[in-house]
Amino acid sequence: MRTDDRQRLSLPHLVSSEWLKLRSLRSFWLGAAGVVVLTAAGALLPAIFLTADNPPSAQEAPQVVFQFGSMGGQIALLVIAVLAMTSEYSRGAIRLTFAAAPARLRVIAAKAVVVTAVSASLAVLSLPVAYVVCVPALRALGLHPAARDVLGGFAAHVGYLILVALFAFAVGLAVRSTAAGVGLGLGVVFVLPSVLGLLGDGLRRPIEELGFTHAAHGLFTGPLLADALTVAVWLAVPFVLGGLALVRQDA
Amino acid sequence: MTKRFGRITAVEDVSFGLDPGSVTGFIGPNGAGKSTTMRMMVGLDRPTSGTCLVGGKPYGKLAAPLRVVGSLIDPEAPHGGRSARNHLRVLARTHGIPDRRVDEVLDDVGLTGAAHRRVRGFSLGMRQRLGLAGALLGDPAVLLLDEPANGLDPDGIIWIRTLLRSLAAEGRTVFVSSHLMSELAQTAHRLIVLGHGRVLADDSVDALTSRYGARRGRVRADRPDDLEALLRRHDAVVTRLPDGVLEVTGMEPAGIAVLAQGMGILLLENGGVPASLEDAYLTLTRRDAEEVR
Repeated sequence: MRTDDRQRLSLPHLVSSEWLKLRSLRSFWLGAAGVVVLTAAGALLPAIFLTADNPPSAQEAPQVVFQFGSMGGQIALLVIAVLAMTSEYSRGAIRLTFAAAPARLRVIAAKAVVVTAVSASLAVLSLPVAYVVCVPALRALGLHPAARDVLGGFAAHVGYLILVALFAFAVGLAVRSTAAGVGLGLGVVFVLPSVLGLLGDGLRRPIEELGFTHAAHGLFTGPLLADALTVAVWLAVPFVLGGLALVRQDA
Repeated sequence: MTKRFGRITAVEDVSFGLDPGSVTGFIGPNGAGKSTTMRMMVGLDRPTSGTCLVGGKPYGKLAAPLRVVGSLIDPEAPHGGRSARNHLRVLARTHGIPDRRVDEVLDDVGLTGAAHRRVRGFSLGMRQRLGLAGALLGDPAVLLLDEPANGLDPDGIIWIRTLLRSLAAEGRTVFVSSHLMSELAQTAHRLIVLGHGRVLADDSVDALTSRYGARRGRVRADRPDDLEALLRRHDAVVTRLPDGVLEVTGMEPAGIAVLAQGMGILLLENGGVPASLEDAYLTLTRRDAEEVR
């Protein structure tokens, strides 16, 4: 029975454990490769469909490219983020986690740190690939975006992808099921904007601004406060619901 | 501690202390509430009332839980896609325990050769060994092991008996559950018997055996059918063995002899078999089942 006081629970130790937990599964690496491939595949759309008839401005072009790229990459990123939480519930591994680290919210904080770091890294890695895919098409149209616009679009979409991953992680925390988490996440990211747009047209009110994706994009491009509040609510609701259930219920 | 799931009371006013340097067996039929009690002890289930303290602190307040309490609650819990070594490394990292300790415990449980294999392909016995490795990881003073012998082969059962005894001999508190008395009879110093969520008995193995273990008589007669019917009429419990011998509980040899003589039955053998721990356990759990009914 040893007495090494450095061997104790701490947030850095938990983050290290959660990072190893994620990277020691083959499904994580498949998902990570999926983010890069799907981001590049998403960027093929503007590369194919941007023509001389409908060219964006040089200023808009990086935003368009990164938006299509992140549209593809966010699918795989969303799955990774949901799995970071729900994979522990498939066979009861969460009981091992909470027996080792009984402070459950601290475990969730460590997982959230890892999801943030992983999504940021994957976004930083994959978005440049998307841009490179589109460079020939942009040059063919005579578009030479300024470095500032490229970096601005890049940073905005890295931020957007981090928010998508955190939202998906929170949904996974709330529903504890991979199928339900991925379904809900994809629904909010891909289906809800169209539904809110149609409803907004019918009601003649801009309710699409209440959607997660609209606000998450807007947070990095438009007026800050309204979008920040909207994103905060979208993140807080599943985090609070999932966190309360986690603390109150048996593992 | 008490634990209720809706209207069902899984554990009711269970209270006991555990001593270092000994193996305490926690025994009861399936569904008696053993696993629920153990999950509450490590903070996985919330007690409806009551608390469990480890060295004066609730488990959740320990600064380094793995270094104080090692637990094996569910051998099926490790993620099947992770290797055995990585599974243990994930647990070790939560406390900053170095990888060399992971290799030590893998060796202790005989899984060094399977360290890099995915857990998905492990047998139940290998999963139990991996669970034990996880419990030993922090070199803890207390071990809580829920049915650790389940799925082990005969060699594995002998191995775990020896391991538990040696862990207790090192001064650790070893608390081990089972639904089979044979697994604990040769290992435990003390037994806590649980039935329908309540503690039915809590005593040393010897005290339990002498208090609850019914003495069995072994009788051979020239007219076994007549003797069997006679003894049953006098409320004895009789079992006919294949060799014609009657095993009798609930009546002393002298009483059997008097009854047999009265009916002119010749007794060829009339002896006693010492009370066993198995009998004591069956007596306790049957009595509990009848009370609940």
